[in-house]
Amino acid sequence: MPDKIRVIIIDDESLARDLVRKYLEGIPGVEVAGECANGFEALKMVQDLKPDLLFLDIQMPKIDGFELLEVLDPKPQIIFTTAFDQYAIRAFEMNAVDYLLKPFSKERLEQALEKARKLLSDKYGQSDKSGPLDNLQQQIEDDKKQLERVITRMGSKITVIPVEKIWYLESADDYVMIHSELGNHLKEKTMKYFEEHLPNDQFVRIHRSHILNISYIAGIELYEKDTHLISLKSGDKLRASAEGYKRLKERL
Amino acid sequence: MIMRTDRQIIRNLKDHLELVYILMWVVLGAIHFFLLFSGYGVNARAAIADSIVFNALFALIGAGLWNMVRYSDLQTRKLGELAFYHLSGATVTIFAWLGIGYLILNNILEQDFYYHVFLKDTLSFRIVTGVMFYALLVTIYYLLINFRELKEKSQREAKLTGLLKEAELNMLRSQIRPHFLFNSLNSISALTMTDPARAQEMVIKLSEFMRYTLNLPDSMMSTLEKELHHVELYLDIEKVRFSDRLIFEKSIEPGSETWKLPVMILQPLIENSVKYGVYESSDPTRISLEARVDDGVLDIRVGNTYDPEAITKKGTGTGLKNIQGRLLNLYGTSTLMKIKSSENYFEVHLRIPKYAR
Repeated sequence: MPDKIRVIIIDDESLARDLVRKYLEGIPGVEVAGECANGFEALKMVQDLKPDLLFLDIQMPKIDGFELLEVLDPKPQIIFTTAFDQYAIRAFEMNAVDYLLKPFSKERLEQALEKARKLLSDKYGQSDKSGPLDNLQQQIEDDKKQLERVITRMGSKITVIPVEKIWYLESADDYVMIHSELGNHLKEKTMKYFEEHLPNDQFVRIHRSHILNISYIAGIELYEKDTHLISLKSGDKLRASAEGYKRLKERL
Repeated sequence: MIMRTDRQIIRNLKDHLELVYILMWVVLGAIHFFLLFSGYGVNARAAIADSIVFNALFALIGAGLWNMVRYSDLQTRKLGELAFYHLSGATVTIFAWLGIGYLILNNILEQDFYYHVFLKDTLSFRIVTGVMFYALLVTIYYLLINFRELKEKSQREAKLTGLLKEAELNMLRSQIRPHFLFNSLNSISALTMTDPARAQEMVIKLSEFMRYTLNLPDSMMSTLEKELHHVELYLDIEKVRFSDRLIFEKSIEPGSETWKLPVMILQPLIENSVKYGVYESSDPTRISLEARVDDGVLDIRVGNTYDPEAITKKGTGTGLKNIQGRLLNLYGTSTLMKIKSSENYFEVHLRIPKYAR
């Protein structure tokens, strides 16, 4: 256990960051390593500074706190700070240390910090590499919210892909390759996850390894028995299985 | 004035319906007696008995008809059905009326020979009278029922309008979304440590802002000046939270401040601008408000820049629909709100006429 907990504060409102920093100033054993106002900066800062703990706001421009958490690697301990109480369940499902409802008192923050301190020392004591957030992926998949955008990360660069700009998805081992107007991006998710969470009036799984955005279809032709070849406006050609073709026909 | 007395008479009539009914038959009975006595030369005793027996009988049967009419709703029954219903109703009524009447009168005026002849001779005339009475009564009953239904309907509608207004008020109040309040309180909490004077200023602004939404005028109308003040309070508070990320520009033509407009019509528009502009962009968002009087109409434009790359969670458009609905209700036309949207700019254009309808 290091002698100091290193903290990054992420909130798009500067006064909200000030408040957390002021509260933390008087508490021994805590060091504010950095502050940032949006998810893009936050990713880079977390990668550079490798903090132990994040104070993370949920509603922020462009990518929200949950979406940031999805692409963070490594994942520090998280204390959410937000004025929305409807996200509490989701936050705890993500194994957040605590969930502070704005406005909160210094005592409430100290309580949360104490929990984090305990979790951190347990983690170091057992030299257990797997953080409490490692099963995060699975839990996000349980969330039944329909996707409006997909957040991907390449190194320290985040790309936000609106679902309507996705051409098709292709399975790639443990990842899914997202082919879109913005280029090709890998995402650590399952095809099943995307099949369930992409708007199903727009996306169809035409094959074990392909999910297609029907608004980019340019043409369909019979390839061989039970297989159709679907050409996209992007120039790509995808094969549809018999069952996939049936699903596609229902949707069109 | 005349209207009022008419209504009063109708109300009094309705309160003493039974009395009116009895009175009507007394008058009819008197006319009946008078006709027999001086018109047909029937002796006084027989004329009185004839008048009392036939009128009292019809009054009794007629009272029963009320129930029959009540359950034969004009709107739900077919015409043929209704005709058959009343044809048989009239037949039974007249048969019972004359049958019982003749039986009684034949018995009590046994000795009066002339009267017996008179009774016999006037049978066809009495049948015609009976049919007329029947038709008259049924018509009056239907009118009465109709009148009652109309009144109930207007009462229901008045109640509904009241409920609607209440719902509208609640809707307007709840638009001050709780997270705005909690985030503002969080900012105040921070300012108490760093800048108590500003914290105090913000508390006062927030209070004034809340008070306005709690004391909306009954008329639901306000002036541009008041609405503007309210909106600026809101923006001042948001500006404390977002500082440089929010830029507000207004251009108000002198003379337009006194113009009347629906209360809380600008607030949702500005809130939308903050929600889809400021909340979703890390760069400064420009919110503009222009107002001028043009061609006898107050012309208002509320606009905001927005980040084209922000994939905003799509709104449901209820806020704008509500405004459209309120304008339609008040001014009777749906052409008063227009929306303009370009790649990075969104604008709502309102035209507020001088008078509500």
